[in-house]
Amino acid sequence: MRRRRRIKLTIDELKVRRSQKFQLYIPYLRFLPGGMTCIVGANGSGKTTFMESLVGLIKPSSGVVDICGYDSSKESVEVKRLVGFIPDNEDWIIPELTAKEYFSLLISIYKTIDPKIANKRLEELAQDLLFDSFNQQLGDLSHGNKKKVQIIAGLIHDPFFIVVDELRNGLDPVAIDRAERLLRRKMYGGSCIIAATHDLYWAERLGQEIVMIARGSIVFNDYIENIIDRSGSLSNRFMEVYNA
Amino acid sequence: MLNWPIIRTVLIVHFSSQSLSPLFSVVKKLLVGGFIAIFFGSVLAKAVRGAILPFGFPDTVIFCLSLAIGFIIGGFVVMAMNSIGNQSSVYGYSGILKMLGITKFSRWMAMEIPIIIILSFVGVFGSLVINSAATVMLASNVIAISGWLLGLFSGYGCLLIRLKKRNVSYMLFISIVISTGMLFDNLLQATVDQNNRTIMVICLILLAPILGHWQLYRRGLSIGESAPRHLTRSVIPNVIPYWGWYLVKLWRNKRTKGSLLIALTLSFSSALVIIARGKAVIDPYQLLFFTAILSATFACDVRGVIARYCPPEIIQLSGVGGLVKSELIAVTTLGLVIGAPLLLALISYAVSPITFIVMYFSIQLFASVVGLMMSTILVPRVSDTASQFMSAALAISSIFLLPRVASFSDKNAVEQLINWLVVSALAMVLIYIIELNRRRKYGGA
Repeated sequence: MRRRRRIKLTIDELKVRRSQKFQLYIPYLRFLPGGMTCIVGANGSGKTTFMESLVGLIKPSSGVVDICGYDSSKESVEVKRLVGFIPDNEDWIIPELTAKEYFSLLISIYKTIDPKIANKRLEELAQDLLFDSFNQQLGDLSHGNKKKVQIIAGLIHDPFFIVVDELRNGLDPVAIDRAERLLRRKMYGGSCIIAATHDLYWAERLGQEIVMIARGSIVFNDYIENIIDRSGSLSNRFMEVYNA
Repeated sequence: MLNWPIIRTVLIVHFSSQSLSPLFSVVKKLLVGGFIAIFFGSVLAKAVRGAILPFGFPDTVIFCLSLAIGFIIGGFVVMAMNSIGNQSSVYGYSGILKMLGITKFSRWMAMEIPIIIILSFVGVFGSLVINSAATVMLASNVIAISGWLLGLFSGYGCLLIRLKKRNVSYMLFISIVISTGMLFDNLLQATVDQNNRTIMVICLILLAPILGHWQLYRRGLSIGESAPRHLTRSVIPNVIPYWGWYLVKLWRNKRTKGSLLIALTLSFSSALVIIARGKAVIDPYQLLFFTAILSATFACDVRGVIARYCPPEIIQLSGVGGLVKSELIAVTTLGLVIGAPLLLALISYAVSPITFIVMYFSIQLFASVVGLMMSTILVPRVSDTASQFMSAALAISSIFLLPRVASFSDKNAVEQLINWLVVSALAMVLIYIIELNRRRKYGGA
């Protein structure tokens, strides 16, 4: 009988050593479905390292990232099906493939999804994000269109956990609005969104929970309402920590 | 398991860069590669059939010998392509491969396929030659070919082995080559009883690195690599002249720095073996071609460190001329440095040391320039296996074929020197024309 697994993402004693001087250390964090957690922090604080270790791109020195009962460093296939990653890096594409080929590659991999449903989802996502350059090679796309491809690729298998690094970078205002609506819909549908951003107003507007990282450690982790009650705004709270 | 979209993606990424119809380009390149392997293999096999080779060796010696040849060539081919290390990059294709929900086996296959394809071409080429050689030597063809193929696979496996540091695999490969060479040296002087033991040891040493493939499977990219370490680099100081700028660039690039260190290690260890053996080298001039191969293989990586079209370095170095000049100074200087240990080891065996030095300079100059020329034509990028292999193969072929086609060896030293200088100058002009043309056509439809 198949084991029933609770939908949650837990981090326990995670350590990622990036260099002699920098180590990310997260003692404990839990992300639940139906919410958005924003990860904020100054440049070089460890946000991207955190995101990459969450999705299994870099190997933690120690600790566990538990995704619905699967250890992300061991049970790779199951974990990848549960997680969608939208990176903030233009290189995160295969430039030689056309968008159509790239999406068909992704659909062919997730065998648990009916190709018809996946293709329908692809159509919807492309429509939502106003993307229509399916027959162009990815390397020839504009920066914004590459980002749209990355968003579609991250959501095509309908993941429970969506890890987003700087969603807004490269997108035009209309596409930003569409992408935000898309994420909101996913969130209301029960997905858990973890988004790293420098845009504190955006985090305040969309995030329900805020995690601030500085020099590889969590400085605070609180609900946005509590932060606004105490400091007036996330921006104020950020500056308080930064100037302390 | 691997499905067609994954296989297609792997092939396109490794064998079809910057093509408008990638799949067609892959098929074209694979067909050309197969044709070249069969054609040149057949030509060389025909030549071997007419050669006088020693015969009457036991099958174990034949197996051991073909295993060693396969191991060395397999390792060199993979080293020349210098592409294994790039699979660990966090971003781009390898990052996407890590994020795909595929099994460990599929991931492993996706990593192995490109190099296996290249080694298959080399395997076909060598099998034809070894088959002929085995026939002439009255040995078993099956044993000779299986030794050769296992050697190729093991040589590649050796470069996959990772201990704490990645470059350990290169050091391991070089150590195995040197120790096997020494064991073969002993083999020729030992009694029959000792022969069997030495052969067994050589075979074990050469076959053990196959485990590198298992290690690659275990790593599998599925759990991600350890976090890459970011280095802080200082800005180039003002004291570095323009012409020296490219040298700094090559030293700072991980790929070219690795290639340079490998070539230097090979040259240095070969020089040490020559000195340690203490026996006279019959024809030191022939060994100059070995240093030339090392320099040419290194030079093949040089152009790939900057953008293919209109690199910003063109502006920094005051135009195409400045860029080409800077590249040429870098490759020729480093080419001479790479060959220096062997030059010092061999010079005492040369009949005329001055002629030997002059020949060394001219051949090294040609090798470096022709390597750069191939690199300029194909511009091998990080994961572009086909271009990396082709540029190295073409550069090495030019070094071997040119003296035969133009009958250099029939001429005296001065004439040879002039010939080498003339062809080097022509290659330099060609590099300039290619770059200029690329610069002018940049942005055009």
